[in-house]
Amino acid sequence: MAVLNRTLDRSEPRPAPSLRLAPVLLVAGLALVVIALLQIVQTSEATTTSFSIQTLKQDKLELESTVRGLEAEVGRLSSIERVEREAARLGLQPATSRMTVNVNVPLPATTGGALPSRFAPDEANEIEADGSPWWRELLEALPFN
Amino acid sequence: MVRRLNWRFLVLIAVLAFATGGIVVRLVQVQIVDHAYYTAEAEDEHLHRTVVRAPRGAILDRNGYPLATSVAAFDVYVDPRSWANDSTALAGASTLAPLLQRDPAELIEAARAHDEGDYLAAYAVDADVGLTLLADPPPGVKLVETSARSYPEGDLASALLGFIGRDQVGLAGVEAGFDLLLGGVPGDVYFERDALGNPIPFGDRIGDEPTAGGDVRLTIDRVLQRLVEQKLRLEVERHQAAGGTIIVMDPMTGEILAMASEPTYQLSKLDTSDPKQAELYRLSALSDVYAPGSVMKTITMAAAIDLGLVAPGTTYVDDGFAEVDGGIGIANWDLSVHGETTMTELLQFSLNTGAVWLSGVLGPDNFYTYVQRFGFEDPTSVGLGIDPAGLVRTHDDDDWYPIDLATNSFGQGISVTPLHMITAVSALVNGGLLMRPYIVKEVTGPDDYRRFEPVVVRRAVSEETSRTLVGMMNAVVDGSPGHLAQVAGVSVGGKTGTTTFHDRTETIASFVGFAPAENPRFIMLVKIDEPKDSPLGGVVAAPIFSDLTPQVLTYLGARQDAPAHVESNP
Repeated sequence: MAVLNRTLDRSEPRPAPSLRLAPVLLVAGLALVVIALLQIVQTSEATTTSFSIQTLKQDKLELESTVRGLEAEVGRLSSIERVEREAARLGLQPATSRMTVNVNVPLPATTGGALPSRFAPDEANEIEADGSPWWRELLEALPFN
Repeated sequence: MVRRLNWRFLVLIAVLAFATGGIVVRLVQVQIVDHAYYTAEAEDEHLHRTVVRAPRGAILDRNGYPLATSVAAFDVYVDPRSWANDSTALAGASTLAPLLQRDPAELIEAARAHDEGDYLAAYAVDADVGLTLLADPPPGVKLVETSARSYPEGDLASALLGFIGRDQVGLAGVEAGFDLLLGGVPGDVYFERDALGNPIPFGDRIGDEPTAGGDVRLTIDRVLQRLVEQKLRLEVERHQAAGGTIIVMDPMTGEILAMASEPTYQLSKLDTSDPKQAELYRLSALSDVYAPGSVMKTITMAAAIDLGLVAPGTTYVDDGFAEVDGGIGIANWDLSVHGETTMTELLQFSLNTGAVWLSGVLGPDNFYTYVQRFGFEDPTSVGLGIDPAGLVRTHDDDDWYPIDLATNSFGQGISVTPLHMITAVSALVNGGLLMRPYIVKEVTGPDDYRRFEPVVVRRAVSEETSRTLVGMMNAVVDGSPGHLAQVAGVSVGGKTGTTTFHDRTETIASFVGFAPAENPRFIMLVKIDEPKDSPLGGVVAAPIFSDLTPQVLTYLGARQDAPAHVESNP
């Protein structure tokens, strides 16, 4: 058995530094509260986002439904039955006799004259139409485009 | 001094250890050993799978006008478990029932009586109703997106378009023939639901989105289709016939421009539970066979001319009666006698004796070779699945007799579909090529596009033979004074047919004609079944062709043979 090479100190042992319980408990409690709050906030955010997604999906459904309805409406409006109905309303009647007229005259030669001014392209737009903006060309030249 | 543990304390430790061990064992059993079972149970309880139907593709006419399209709709389901509670059921039914035009009490009873799964309260309700319910769903009510068919042109081409069932699967016509393309790919959606069966907002939602169906563009022209449908309906009624068929085709390409049959059903009055209506679901122009009668004489003539055995001016002596091997006699349809007759006159007078004579000149080998070359023994492969071959008994069959050759030569004892017949005569007017008839022009899927081009099955006769037959058939109509198929200002060609039956007096009156004769823009087959007023193709069917031709040519923009009304100054 080893011998302690020192004299026994007969004085009272120094008390260990006392741990203050209150601050520790306070910090721990605060931490728990924060964690709980974070969780609540996160769940709340997620639920809110989910509801937003549901609302947007609902909107998308409505829009898709509207688009399909409009497509069907276009079909109905261009149907033969409607055309006939509108023609009758306008006082048109089915032809009872037909006459074919063959025009045995050659087409007039084109003079190559200028178009009426209202059909001429706008000069301002013409400049722009000559080339793309430099930034667009650069974008198109990029490899990942 | 070590304290000795009290025995009570040891007992307590043992009990706690035992209990803990038991819990651990049970946890291991539930979470590890039986994990799959309990997961499935939980999923079954909380996870609900819904099939989301894909929007169905449209069916268009050749110019892109929609004949059948899809609009948004909703299937309305009720969860019987949540409606087990009276107050919930009343709250749900009071909102739902008026929108579905049902009695609330009846709706509750029906939902509660449903044993398994959710109760389908209404199928394919309007999008407006569905969206109203979706915005504020009554308790226990769920909506699943689906689609409903809409027909912008009304009942036009009902039999051809066909219809779909409640499960959105095509059951007839083009809807069935192209169901895989039109139907798209349904989606699978899984979502967690609460105790009332309502989706949990942030529950799992895994699955595939539906892939929309593709569109089918037909070769049918809606204007021509309407024209022939209206005319056929009128004429069948006028002649008090059992039914009829009109087919309009482009002889150069094989595209079917219009196809109508009577009787037919209407999509707006569809009743799949009616057995009488069920008989009309088939496309009789494609599926029903008949003996073509004297129209077949054009084929017999073409065979003989193509082989160089006869020419339009070749003659034979018609004494009104032809005797076939075995002493069986065949007379002309009108019991007429014409003496020395040319081949063109044979067609003009539609002489059975002449056809019999030709069959003798041809012999069975040659005749049936040409029957095969004109496609009568094969399916037409039109692409809609209903496609029988003609019924032809040849000299290679055990139950064939020489009389069959004689009768087949003028279209009796042989059965073909109207499509077979018009396709064969098309080969006579388009330069001799047997074209594959087709009714679908192109299909456009989400990932692919296919365009169907004209297909030449084979050369049936030479170009020269075709030119000759065009001239002869033109002579049949325009060269016969008072022929009811004539059209003022237009050169036409064609051949009448009158099918007789050995066991009854009714007939099938038919006519196949084309116009303009020098450059046919269309060919038309008219077939009226069992007309009451007159049995003859020349009286019943030919005038229908004559009435329709000017309208068809005007619509197609074909120039009519008219002298110039505006001349240039000299």
